[in-house]
Amino acid sequence: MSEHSGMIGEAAGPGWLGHAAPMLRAALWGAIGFLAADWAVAAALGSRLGAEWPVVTGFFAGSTGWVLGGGALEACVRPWFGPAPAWDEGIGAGRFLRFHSDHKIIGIQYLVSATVTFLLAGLAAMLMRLELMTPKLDVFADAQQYNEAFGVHGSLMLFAVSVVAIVGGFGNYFVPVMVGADDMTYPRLNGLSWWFLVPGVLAILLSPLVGGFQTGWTGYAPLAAQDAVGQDLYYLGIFALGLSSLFTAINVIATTLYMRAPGLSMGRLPMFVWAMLVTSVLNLIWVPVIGTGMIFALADRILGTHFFDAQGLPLLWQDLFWLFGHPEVYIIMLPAWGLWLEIIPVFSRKRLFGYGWAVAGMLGVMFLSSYVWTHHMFTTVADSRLVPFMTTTELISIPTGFMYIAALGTLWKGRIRLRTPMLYVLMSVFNFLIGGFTGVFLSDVPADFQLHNTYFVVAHFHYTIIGGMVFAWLAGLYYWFPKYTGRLYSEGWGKLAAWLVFLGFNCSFLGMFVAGFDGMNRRVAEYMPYLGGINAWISVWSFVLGLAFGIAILNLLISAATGKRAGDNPWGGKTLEWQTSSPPPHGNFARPPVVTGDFYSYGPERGVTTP
Amino acid sequence: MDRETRNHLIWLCLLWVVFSAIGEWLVQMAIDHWPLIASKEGAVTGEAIFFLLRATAPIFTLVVLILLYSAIRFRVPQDDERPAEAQFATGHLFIAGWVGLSVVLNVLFIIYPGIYGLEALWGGAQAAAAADPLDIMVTAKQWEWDFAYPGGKVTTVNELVVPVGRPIRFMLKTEDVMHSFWVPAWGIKKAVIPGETRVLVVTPTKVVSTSADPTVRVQCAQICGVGHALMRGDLRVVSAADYQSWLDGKTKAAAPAMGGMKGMNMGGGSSGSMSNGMTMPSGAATMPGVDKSGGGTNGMGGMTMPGASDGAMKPGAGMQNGTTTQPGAGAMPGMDMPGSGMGGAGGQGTTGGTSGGMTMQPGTGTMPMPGASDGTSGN
Ligand code: HEM
Ligand SMILES: [Cu+2]
Ligand SMILES: [Cu+2]
Repeated sequence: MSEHSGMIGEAAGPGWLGHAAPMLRAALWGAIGFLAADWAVAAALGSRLGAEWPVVTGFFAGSTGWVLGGGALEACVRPWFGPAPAWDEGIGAGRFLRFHSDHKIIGIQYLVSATVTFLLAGLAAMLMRLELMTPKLDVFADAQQYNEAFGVHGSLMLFAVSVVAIVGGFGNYFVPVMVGADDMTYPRLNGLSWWFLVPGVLAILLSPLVGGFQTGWTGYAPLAAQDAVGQDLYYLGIFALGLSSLFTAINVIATTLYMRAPGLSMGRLPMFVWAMLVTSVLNLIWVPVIGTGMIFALADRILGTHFFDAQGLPLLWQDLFWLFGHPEVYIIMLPAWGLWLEIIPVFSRKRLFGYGWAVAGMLGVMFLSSYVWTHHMFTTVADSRLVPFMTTTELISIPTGFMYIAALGTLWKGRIRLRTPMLYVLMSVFNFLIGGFTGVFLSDVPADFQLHNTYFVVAHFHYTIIGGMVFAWLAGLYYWFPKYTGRLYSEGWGKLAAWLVFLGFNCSFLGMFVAGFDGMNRRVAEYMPYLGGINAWISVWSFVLGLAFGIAILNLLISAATGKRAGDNPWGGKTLEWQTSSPPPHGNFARPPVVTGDFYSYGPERGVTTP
Repeated sequence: MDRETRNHLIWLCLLWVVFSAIGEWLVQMAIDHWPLIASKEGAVTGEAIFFLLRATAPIFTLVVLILLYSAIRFRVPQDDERPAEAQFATGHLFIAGWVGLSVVLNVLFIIYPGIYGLEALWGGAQAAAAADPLDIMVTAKQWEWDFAYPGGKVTTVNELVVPVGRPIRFMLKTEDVMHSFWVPAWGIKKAVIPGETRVLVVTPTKVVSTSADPTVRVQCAQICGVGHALMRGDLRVVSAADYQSWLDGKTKAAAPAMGGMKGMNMGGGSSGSMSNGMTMPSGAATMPGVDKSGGGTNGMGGMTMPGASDGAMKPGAGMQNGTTTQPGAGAMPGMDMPGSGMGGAGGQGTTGGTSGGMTMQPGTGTMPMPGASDGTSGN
């Protein structure tokens, strides 16, 4: 592809405006698309601009304008009419602000957008905790606003942060490098994927402008039928985010299966790549299910169908939602496990323990995760479904345990260097243990009858998602920082932030278990005064947590600008990404690598991979 | 096994015993200070939680110890890049032990407290059905709890008074969206699903009240809109005698207002008379499969929900919809069944009673009446 040649030199580039031109064009086309369709439909129907049909049509037109304006017009649409695909890939910072086919650029786009979304949704969480400082309503104007806030917070955190930060960010950036390929199998599809993320995030983030949605991230019917137009944006936003995940999944699967370097058998595949592969299979199977659910639900609202109201089956929505929704929690956690097992050997200077068991564990989780969804519905379904799903749910702890076998076995008698990434990984291993053990409580039907929909559940899933996935994501951000920026981060600030995050997180979220036991139900802006003490405690520590996240991310930003040059392999890693320059050149390797041994050998036989 | 490994393991074992003991002590402290558990069912679910706390504490301790022990004991300076001496890739004893233990624990937890606890709950419900339970109709709606007592004369809003020691069979219905009936101190909850009637059996074991202990309250536990947090009702568990005098007082107060509605039976005093009006015979109400019988009562949902289907349903409107859209509702699947018209008629207050063929609880017919929510059931 000749159009790549422009990006090697970083010399006298275009000005700021030149760099940002494609993204500005995307924003402009998106805005025009939205406003034009919104206005036209509203005029045709004689309705308000904020009414259902105008907004829904506006979303489609606006997203199309945004995606085309970013560069998909030249790269993907124009070829339909004859001309070869041709688009300007820009240079320097401009590469990140346009449609790009290089998986590393796309990876950074995902990382940045996930971080920004994380901070925005985190801000909503801070507001919610501020509200919950006291039993009465005092921060938000009314309960409706609070309901919208946790809907936006939860939906963004799950669909635009948790499931894309590691897969879209590190998966895009490192899967091709780690398998020794020069790019993903379908670079243009890959370029497209990130552009669908942005309309999805915007739809959910801006939904409060048209009344928001009160159902939280689960969108239960028939409450959803009562909501304002914001509910439509929830369906559309999640649909768009799903498309983004789907495109990435197709690429990750194709690339790991077909583009591995010579000598890189499946049995030598790095753990992180295994995790990406397994996660992508889950995405490929289950994202279409939730997409279908979103379309049905949208039809219920705008076409007058009755899939999920009382004339249809309200429980059908729950089944469709959790059919995806439970695998989703493993779509979140599998990548984190991949990071654990990638980072632990490097910082233990020791062979990965039980490689086969870890892979089997991932496959086992992938398989079982599709058979447990009803555990979210124990208080709503027929009794006949209780025992089977209690059984499958508890069984999933067995393959999950294999991850611990590998992690602990590798640590045992290693030479452990507690650098920031390793610190985060060990913290993640600890936190996820609490998340997992409390999951055993919730999988036990009698216990769940009491604990369901209480703050115990809120604590549990934050322990898995923040404690497990976000800690691992931070580990990855620090671990690969030298690779994707070419610089070293500040170790002192890194460790300080890590300990603060750990302290703030555990102090606040352990308190939520107590609140749950004490009878505090979730999704409430107000609660009875006897719960005031524990909630004030939780809130104060969650502000510490918010601050700590800020420091951790700020440290990365400052280090990216001012850090010392890192060299190719500062941690002495063995996997292929450490055998090329930092950051890797376009095409990733100067010469195609050949793999002659496994990546986790630190003994006398070290140095078995030859790039 | 070399000497060094043996020493590590001895240390680990010692630490494990010590910290497990501390863990068990902490768990016991927590259990001693546990929030009130005031029902038979809550004792079952509470016991499940306690057992899991006790059983997982030592395992949790073990894993955390291995983690911390390694991180502390095998730590080297952060820029020491030398490889570890030991480079094993597997350890059969460790893996076999881990996998074996996790399989055993899984089987254990599934059987106890899992299936065992469910059997206790189901068995208790079945026994309760035979033992003259008190049937209370619960109608959840945005955003209040309506309770209808046997005899059809007494209804309350956001106020539940029940006798201690007698099984209570709550018939749960919703007029609009999903809700969830939960009394934290009773240790159990059940979702209320549009178009279905759910049954929850609870046997209170303690005389308590919301004012004495705020965990003794009826709380909606499923997000249902703006009023969700405040959708709660006061609960008083009183002695059988106090309950009777409370009920008598309420009945008298309600009598003058009952006027032309004498025939109305809002729940049936005994299971015998109830079976007329209800789709489920009293025995069936406690069977595990009972949830499915919601299909038979779909008419109720069909009647109150039409507003939702065309997007016109507004908070609080479900109630009126139930009666006003009745004529047009015949086209809907749920309305084809015999008796649904009766329900509608009952709703308009023209006829009533427990005549055969009704597929729904007559109480439903009265609930949508304007004024039904002011604490008595009169117009
Ligand atoms: C910065 C620290 C965070 C705090 C203080 C926080 C706090 C909260 C609070 C108070 C709720 C409302 C719970 C309820 O009433 O149900 C909530 C819900 C939720 N949070 Fe967080 N959260 C944080 C970070 C995260 C992260 C990082 C994720 C995922 C990546 C996440 C995912 C969710 C989800 C999925 C919900 C459920 C929303 C719903 O009920 O629909 N949170 N969070
Ligand atoms: Cu699940
Ligand atoms: Cu509610």
